[in-house]
Amino acid sequence: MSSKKSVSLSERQIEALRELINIGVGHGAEVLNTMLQSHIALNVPEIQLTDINELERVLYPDSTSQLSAVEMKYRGNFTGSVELIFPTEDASKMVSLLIQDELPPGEMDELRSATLQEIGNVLLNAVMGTISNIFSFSLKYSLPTYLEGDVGTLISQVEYEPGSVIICAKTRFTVADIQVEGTLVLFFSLTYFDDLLSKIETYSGFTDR
Amino acid sequence: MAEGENTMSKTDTPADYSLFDYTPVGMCVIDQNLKVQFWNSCLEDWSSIPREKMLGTDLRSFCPKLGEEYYLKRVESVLCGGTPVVFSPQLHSGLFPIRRYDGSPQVQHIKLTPLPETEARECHALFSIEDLTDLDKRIKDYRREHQTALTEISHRAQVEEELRKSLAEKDFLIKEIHHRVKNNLSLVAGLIGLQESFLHDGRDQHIFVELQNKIQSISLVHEKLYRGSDIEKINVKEYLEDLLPLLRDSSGRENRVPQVKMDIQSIILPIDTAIPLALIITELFLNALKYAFPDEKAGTIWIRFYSSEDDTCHLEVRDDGVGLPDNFDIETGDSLGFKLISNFVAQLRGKLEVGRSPSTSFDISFPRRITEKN
Repeated sequence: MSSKKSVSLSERQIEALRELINIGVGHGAEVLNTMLQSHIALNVPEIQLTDINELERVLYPDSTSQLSAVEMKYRGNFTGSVELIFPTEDASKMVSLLIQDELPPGEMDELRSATLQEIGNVLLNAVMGTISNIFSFSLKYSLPTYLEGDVGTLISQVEYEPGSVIICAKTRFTVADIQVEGTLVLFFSLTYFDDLLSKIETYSGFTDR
Repeated sequence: MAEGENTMSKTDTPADYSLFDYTPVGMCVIDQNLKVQFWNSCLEDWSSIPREKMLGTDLRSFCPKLGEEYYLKRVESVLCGGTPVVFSPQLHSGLFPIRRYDGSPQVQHIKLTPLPETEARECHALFSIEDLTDLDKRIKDYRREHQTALTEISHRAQVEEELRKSLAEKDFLIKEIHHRVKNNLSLVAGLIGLQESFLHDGRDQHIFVELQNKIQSISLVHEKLYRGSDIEKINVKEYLEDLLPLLRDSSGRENRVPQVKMDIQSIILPIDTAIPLALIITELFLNALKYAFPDEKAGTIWIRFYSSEDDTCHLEVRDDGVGLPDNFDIETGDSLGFKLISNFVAQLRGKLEVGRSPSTSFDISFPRRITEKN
């Protein structure tokens, strides 16, 4: 069944997917560096496939604390959403570093959440753009929205097709020697996941040469 | 096309964006060449530039920053039908150089979304500009006040910590002083005891022993103070449980010592009250030991100390001995002991009643909290 398929990806497929996301994240980092005129390094050390029942456990298993997320919904070949999630405290710290705020990081007020929204926008665009280009998907995106709450609250607000396959990619942001870890969460329709897998096969075969 | 001439999209079919006039958000539509296709009423108000003047002009003439490569790339990606783009207020100031009525630059949250191509026109892009200037000011004010409050709290915590340390040091020093006073009083009592052993007259010896007892009573108060958890107060029950056996043992009676029965409530008193009380008890107890039971006569001394509901302390010292002499009058008598008792009772702002029947009793009552008013 669906979720079993999603977790039975071969090491090579996982590695190909991780590479793809890394390429997207790299493009995002370039845009952020130009935009912020400072060095922000991004990399994806780990990806994991899961389903909606396991998502809470995979995302922040030990956390009941507040999370901040930027979400973009998409429609086209398939419907789904993509999210960038941080613990709110880390998100606030990262925003402070990026805008070189002289005041210490506080709560995520509307201006800070707008900044996070833009960072998420750049990164999610880059990652989904890379995937769409390689797989020739045609997707239309909503404007990014900012969500805040504990992991359960966030998941309850996500829009996805039943049985969606979920890709969780830990993404490490390094700004001014400070590391902040967020998670990219991509919801893929099951109908197109087979297609995605076959293209990953081709892609990973291609990249092996 | 001549400069300044209004230019519509390549299809020459103007799109109807008039709905955008009914929103408090600045809205501007551009075509593939960044030429303005719509400039809504809100932007007219904010910029004081009428729509007619903006239509067909290159938006970069109003927003020079859009000419920078970085902005151009993001705008072009949207014009190609790409994903919507956000320009957040903290990262992009003055993208639309609009000033508020007071001359301050507007703080803007800008979103750029593609308007997909139709049969009538190619893909356009829509800038939506929210004015967050007031919000920005409120947030900055709030954060400044929050920061000031945090600094104040931190400063107060530091001062509190210093005061706590200083208080602990003071307590330590006072305990040390009580310890030294106690040692010095013990030394004086010891010297008196030594001196007494050189005396031959029984009456003189007795005076010295009484003096020694009084000093030991005070010394014990200081010992209780430095050993206790409170450097200014003692528990009368604990104090008397230590003092009375000491006094009884020092009475000099070799065989029959009267039985002592104590009924003492656990009452905490400050040093100013405790010392006069200690000396009163010492005086009355020793007096009973000395005079109430002549010739080793058996008997009992009762000591009761309690507090009544009106916060008055009561001390009762009673004995079933031979009773007071008929001519005894505490007011007129010339006994030093009773003069001292009268003085200490006055110091406690208390009252003393002497009873003779059925047994000799001294009832002293005084307010638990002695204030200036009392």
